[in-house]
Amino acid sequence: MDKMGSRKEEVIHILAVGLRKLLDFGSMDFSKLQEIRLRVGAPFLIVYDGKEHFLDRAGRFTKEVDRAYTVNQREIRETLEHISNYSMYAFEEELRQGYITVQGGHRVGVAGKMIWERQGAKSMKHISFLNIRLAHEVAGCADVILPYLIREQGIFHTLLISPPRCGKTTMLRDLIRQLSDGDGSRDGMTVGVVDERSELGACYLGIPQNQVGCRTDILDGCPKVEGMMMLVRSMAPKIIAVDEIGSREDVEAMEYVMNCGIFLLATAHGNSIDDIKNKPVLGRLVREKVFGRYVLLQPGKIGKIQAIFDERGSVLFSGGQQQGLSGRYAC
Amino acid sequence: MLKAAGVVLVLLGCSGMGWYAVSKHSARIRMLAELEQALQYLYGEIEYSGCDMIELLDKLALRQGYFEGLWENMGDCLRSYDGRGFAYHWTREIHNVETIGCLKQTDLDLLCSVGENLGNMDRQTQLRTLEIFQARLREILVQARREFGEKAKVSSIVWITAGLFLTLVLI
Repeated sequence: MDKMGSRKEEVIHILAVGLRKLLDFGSMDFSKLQEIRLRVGAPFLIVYDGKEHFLDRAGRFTKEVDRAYTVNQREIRETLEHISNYSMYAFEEELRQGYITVQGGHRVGVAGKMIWERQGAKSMKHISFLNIRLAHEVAGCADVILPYLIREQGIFHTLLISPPRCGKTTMLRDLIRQLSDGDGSRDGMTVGVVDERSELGACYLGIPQNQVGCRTDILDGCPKVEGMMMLVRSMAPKIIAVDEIGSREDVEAMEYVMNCGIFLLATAHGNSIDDIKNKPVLGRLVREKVFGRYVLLQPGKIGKIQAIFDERGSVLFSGGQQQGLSGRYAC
Repeated sequence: MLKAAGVVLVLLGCSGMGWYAVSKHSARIRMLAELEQALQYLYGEIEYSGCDMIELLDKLALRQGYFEGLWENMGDCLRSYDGRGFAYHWTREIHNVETIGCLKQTDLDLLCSVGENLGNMDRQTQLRTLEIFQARLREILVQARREFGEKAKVSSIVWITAGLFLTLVLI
């Protein structure tokens, strides 16, 4: 089966029988399907090629809510059964986190009534909202930035910065893959990945569903702080990659990793380096010039690189989209 | 001579019917006991290993017994991801069990309820639900075992008496 066929199968398999008919009707290009949103009593909604569409009973796109197919409770329950392999009890931890990763690396966000106890979230019941986010790999999306990160001894400590949904995780994944595999001119490096939210490797039954390179070890579903320490002690990585850092503990663990002679690849939310600099904990690392490279993605444009800076704030690469960013940035 | 042969045949036939009724009771008890063991197994596995339902059904299918086919077919159905729910497959498949006729309607209702409540809840609730089913099943089993001797005796006597009566009528 070709990749698109298997992607279609993966998506169709997790839906209730009534819903899979809607997607199966037309000649939908599943590579353009990004999200499926199911809400009890609400229209069947998909994000296709960057735009939201309702689907009617015949699986056709429509803008009219009245004509859209309405999802019912039974369909949500059946979809959940498929997502959990008919074993909701086996996904308690995932439900506490609010998402389940399914075969193909697709992530299903769930929402409903949370059950809390003193230690925090205990479980979730009456699940009525599902958001199926389809995994997208963009092999080669980091081609432009990779040369700026490489140095003789390895790579620069690098921070990828962007607001949510601009492609920084996809970019990080491709960096991991390329650094791990190497190429004709550059040897591959052992990369340890702490994949707290299963976004990078999208492991299913322990096996990465995304291409993360042949020298990559993944700690899946592991908290970043503990994961970084574990990787240093157990897997002797040359590079450690983590997604969405920000807390004081994250930063302390990162410093520990850097002091062990390991290169760090990380991402953080922000619109600019100023945003990072203004963060109480992460800002200190910027001021102390700990990171050798900052890769800034353009807000609102998925995967578009706005600029690459060095530790002093000099612009090494500019996407040429925003005039204000050309020149030097004083860190 | 012919009459004697007829008498023997009628008596044998009626005794056979009596034996069949007794074996049906006996099979029901064995089926319920097997089901109780299966529920215990599911309880233990869900509590300690947290394996998913397909894996559990595959493991159950390795055990020989009345429900061997049910576990195997259920595993296959779930693996097909045909869009139907667990309860749908369960209800359909239990009626395909060869000896399902040995169970009473109350047993069947309980069996259907098990299927409706498997795999679609969190671990704690799942375990509690299995405990409830186990308790109900144990009650049914205890009662069935208690009644077995009496029922066996009554069935045998009734059918043999019926045979004798038929013989008298026919003679």
